[in-house]
Amino acid sequence: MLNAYLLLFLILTGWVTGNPDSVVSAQPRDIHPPTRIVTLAPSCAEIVAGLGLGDKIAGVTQYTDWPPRVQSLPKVGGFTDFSIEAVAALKPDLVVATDDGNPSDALRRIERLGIRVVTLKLQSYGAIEESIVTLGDAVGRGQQARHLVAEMKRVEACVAARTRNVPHPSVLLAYEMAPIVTAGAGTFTDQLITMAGGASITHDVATPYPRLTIESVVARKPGVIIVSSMNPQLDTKRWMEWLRKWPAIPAVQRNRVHIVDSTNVDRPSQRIVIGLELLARTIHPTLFAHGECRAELP
Amino acid sequence: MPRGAAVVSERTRFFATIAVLLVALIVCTVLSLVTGAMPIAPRNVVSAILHSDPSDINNSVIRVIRLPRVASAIVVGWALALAGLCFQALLRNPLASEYTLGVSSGASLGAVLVALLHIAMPLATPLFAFGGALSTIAIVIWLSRARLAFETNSTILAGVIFTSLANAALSLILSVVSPNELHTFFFWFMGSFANSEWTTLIPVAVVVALLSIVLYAFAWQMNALGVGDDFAAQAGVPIERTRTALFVLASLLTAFVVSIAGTIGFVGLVVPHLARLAIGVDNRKLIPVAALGGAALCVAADLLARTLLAPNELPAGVVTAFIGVPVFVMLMRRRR
Amino acid sequence: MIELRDVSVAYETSQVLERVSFRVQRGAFTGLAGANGSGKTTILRLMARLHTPHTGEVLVDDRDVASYSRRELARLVSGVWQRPSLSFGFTARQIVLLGRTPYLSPLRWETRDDEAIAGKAMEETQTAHLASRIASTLSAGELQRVFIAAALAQQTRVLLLDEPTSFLDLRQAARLSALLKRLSGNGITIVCASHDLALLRRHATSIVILADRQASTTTPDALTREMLTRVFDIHEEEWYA
Repeated sequence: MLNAYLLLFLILTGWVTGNPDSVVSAQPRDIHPPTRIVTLAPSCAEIVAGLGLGDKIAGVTQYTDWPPRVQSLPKVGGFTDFSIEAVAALKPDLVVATDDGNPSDALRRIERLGIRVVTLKLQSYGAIEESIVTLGDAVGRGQQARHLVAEMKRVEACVAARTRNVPHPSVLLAYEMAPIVTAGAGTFTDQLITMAGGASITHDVATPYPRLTIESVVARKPGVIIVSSMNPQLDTKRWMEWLRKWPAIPAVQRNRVHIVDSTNVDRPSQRIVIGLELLARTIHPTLFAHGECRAELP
Repeated sequence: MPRGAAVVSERTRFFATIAVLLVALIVCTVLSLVTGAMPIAPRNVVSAILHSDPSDINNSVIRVIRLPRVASAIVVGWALALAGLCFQALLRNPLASEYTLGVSSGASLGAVLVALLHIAMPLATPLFAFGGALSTIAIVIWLSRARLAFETNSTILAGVIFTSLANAALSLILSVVSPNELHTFFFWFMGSFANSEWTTLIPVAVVVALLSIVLYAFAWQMNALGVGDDFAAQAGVPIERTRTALFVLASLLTAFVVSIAGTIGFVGLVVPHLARLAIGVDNRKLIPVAALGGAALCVAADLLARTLLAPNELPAGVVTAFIGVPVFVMLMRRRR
Repeated sequence: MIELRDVSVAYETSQVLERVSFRVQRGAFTGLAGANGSGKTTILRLMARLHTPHTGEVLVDDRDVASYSRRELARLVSGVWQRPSLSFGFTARQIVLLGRTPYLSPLRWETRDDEAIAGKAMEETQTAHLASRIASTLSAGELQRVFIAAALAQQTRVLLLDEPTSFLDLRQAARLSALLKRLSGNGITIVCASHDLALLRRHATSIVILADRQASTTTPDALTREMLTRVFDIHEEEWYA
């Protein structure tokens, strides 16, 4: 019986990782500019602000820090465990949510309160631009949205052009170091590494966010290690010292361990192109020494 | 026969306990309805309960969020306390409960299967949860190598072992599903009333009400079983049939409430015991007292869960655990 | 009243009874004597259908016990068993009232009549003063009498007793002995398994001796020293030691 349970789970998990998720798309309805907006993820706030509606944001979730004015706004909770009532209490006429973490049943309940919800598809890099346009059209800022997307495309093309004819080093991008958590195939981060001219060492791993042992890191020989940290000042010294014990890793040997601020690379908004260039510069320091592709975003 | 003083005081005690619990339940319910991120005047709460007005956000908040939530806490607490009482009577072990026996975890695993496989059949979640609950009982009894009539703590040990297995299965699932599904799976194992909706709650409430009536019909037999199997059998209780019926009843109660609120731990363990301390061991009195107590505890736990760290919400299961573990420890120590 | 016909019982490792037959007369006080493991408790359990024989049949009122419902049988046969579990702290009154189980149902709860019957049973067994005491706080003798009261509340014509005097001190045993004498005098058929040969010799109208998987019926007067030596394998010097 115990074995049966385990077996069942092993079979099931194989299924699950193979299934793309059904996603909620933003449906443009009647276009009237919102006056009070609650955003349910940092990325949503960034997109809303990018469309020029930053001053209409009335409430946000924890860790939302851009644009700076939102830091003093009321918080409605975390992005997976926000309080529906706290959202309702702000009397918003638009809630901007993401399919990448906001529980869909909670979003349904907000809609049943008569509040308009636009759910952005932000699970893959390609969907970001699409979602920006959809939201822009839904709030009467289609022009602005297309401008943002054009600028994103410019930076992407610029980075691609500069990295096209150079070798792509193998890269480990870790969100956590104890244990080492990284991004598997098909994730947003995986795409970002590829676009920045790197080759993720876990590009072949089907699990979305696999945990690696230090042994498999040694075995996969990353040429560059990038630690995405929420607190770079605190983490830099610690992880550098810890990794130094593994000189067999090429990245350690060649002193190619870098710490980046996670807010630059883990938020699927138009600002991700800033992170893209940051990553590209981290992987190819000589090619991007002077901010060659510098994104111009509001 | 003239009724002795002891009998009178027993009755008084029972009705006093019921009255206290009813007041506690009503107070907690009222507090839950008027407390929240949204300041809503009690007058508006009353009018929202009485009639629907979708254009008024306050009205919607009461009708869509707070009412189903508090109703769900009542139903879940009621059912869990009864399930715990049932398991304790069956195993004659005050440490038994749907949670300590791992039945809740088993039911959760069943419910998780539905989410993992995206099964859309109606009632799939409660049915799979029931399958999970029954399999758990089979496993736990097999692990403890006991017949249904087991009286020692090895069934509890087996339950703990099974719960560990269920948690391991959870970790396995959490490490492979995509992060935007994590929340769904956490829900089953950490229990919460935040997802309450009338459409799922009403059928469960009806089932729980019916099961409670059936359980009440078994109260006298539960008493006889409490004295001992031989005693009960020679006093005219069909032991095997009664036991099977009670196991199925308790599993159904657990499965149905797990299907709407996930695993809310310790209610089924703590509430029947406290009820016994208050009014003694007669199951005909324990059933209403435990049911009301469970309901009051869950409503209070949910109120704490959404106010302690507002605007973040704690899973209600976390709160019941913080209340339940100290009581559990106290029970262990009293038992020597 | 009760009859065993060709009854055989085997447990996992050993045969306990082999083709045992005997009869218990209505109103009789039958003693069951025999060494530990000779099957005394097994016979009582067979009579209350707490155990089923592998072969043969057990008859109560000329009907196979297996053909009765639990409820019907419980109105005919009651018993007092060793080692009841009392983990949940029932009061003496609650236990005695549970003796009324075969007369109650979800639609018919206990009435004043049932309470009166339970009260009378407690008076008869001198346990009325213990009514609201928690059973686990009672002495062995008191508890034994409470369970006899529960059996009396069951209002059966047959009362089965398994080692009623074990764990009792002399005074408690004497009290119990007097109670058994009264019950027997009231016409209740009693089957009593006991090591207490003095008790059996005092009350029993017939004795069933269990030895070597067989039962033999005899009279109390025949409980001679020679017989005991044969059944219990006691040597002369041990007898006097």
